Amino acid sequence: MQNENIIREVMKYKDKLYRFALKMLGNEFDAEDVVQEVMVKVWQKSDQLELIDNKQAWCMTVTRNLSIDKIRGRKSTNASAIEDYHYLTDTKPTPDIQTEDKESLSIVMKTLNSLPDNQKEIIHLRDIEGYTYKEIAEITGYSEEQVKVNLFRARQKLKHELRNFTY
Amino acid sequence: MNTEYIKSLLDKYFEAQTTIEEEKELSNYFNSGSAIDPRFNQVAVLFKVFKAESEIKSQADFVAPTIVRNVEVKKEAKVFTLQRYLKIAAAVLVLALSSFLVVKYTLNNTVEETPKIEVANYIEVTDPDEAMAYTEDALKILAKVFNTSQTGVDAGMKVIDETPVIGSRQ
Repeated sequence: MQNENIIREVMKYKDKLYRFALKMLGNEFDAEDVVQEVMVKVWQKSDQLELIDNKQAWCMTVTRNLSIDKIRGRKSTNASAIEDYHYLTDTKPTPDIQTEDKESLSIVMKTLNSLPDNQKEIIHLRDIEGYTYKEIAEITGYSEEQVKVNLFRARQKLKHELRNFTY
Repeated sequence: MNTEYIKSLLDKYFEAQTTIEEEKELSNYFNSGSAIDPRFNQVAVLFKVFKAESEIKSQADFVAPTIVRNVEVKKEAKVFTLQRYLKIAAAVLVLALSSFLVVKYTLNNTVEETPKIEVANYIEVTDPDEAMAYTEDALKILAKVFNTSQTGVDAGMKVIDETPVIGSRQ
């Protein structure tokens, strides 16, 4: 019963877990696998999870670790699979974006893709998922200072690349 | 919304100085669908990308581990392959064959029991004639056994005698 309650709670943010896994793995099937594995881990560790305040951050950390394991597995089995590392390595624009400014969209996507992995990760957690610096530090294992520095660098690069940014 | 306010928020944003609430304000402004100051057109795309990515949802129905566990148990119970059947059949066959051989060997090697002179075990014979009769019976049985053995030895010797010896002169 206790397990089921925790699973129910985790199910509420399954899409966040999925997006994070998708960002890291760049593959829907692998991302779904990872989220399912997270659910199993949650079930197995429900006793410990009961004592954790921020269950969502814990689940995000597990998602991150499982995704990294999957990437390492890919590297060992197929060196070329590293190209699939990130969701945004696909330079095609995200289809759901309604904009007539295709050029700006292309620049934005290209710039986001060109960020170093840790900066992509932090941009995702902050700008897409809306986590605090403290939560990002908890999820990634970086210090809060490292999180701030990397976020600053990523945003500076975005500002620099948006050449027509003339507000 | 005051565009100067948005500009100041954007300045803070690119310096990584904004709070989460201020970032939400920016996102709401650029994703509101209402007219945006043309100066912000390009940066608006950035916030639209973030918004679009935040709305990605999984199409999969993640299964609660309880159900997964039950399914796994059921699957395990159903796995009864041909190979497994063959193994069981082979084990039964080996067992049956070995049992048959043991029984056959035992029957072939059963020694015909010698007739017992049960009376001697229970009766003390005091009459000399009666004792003589028992003794004669006993000797007859012994002679019979010897005869059988002698016949066997004779037959064996006959076979040996008739066997040609290689290299011997006739």
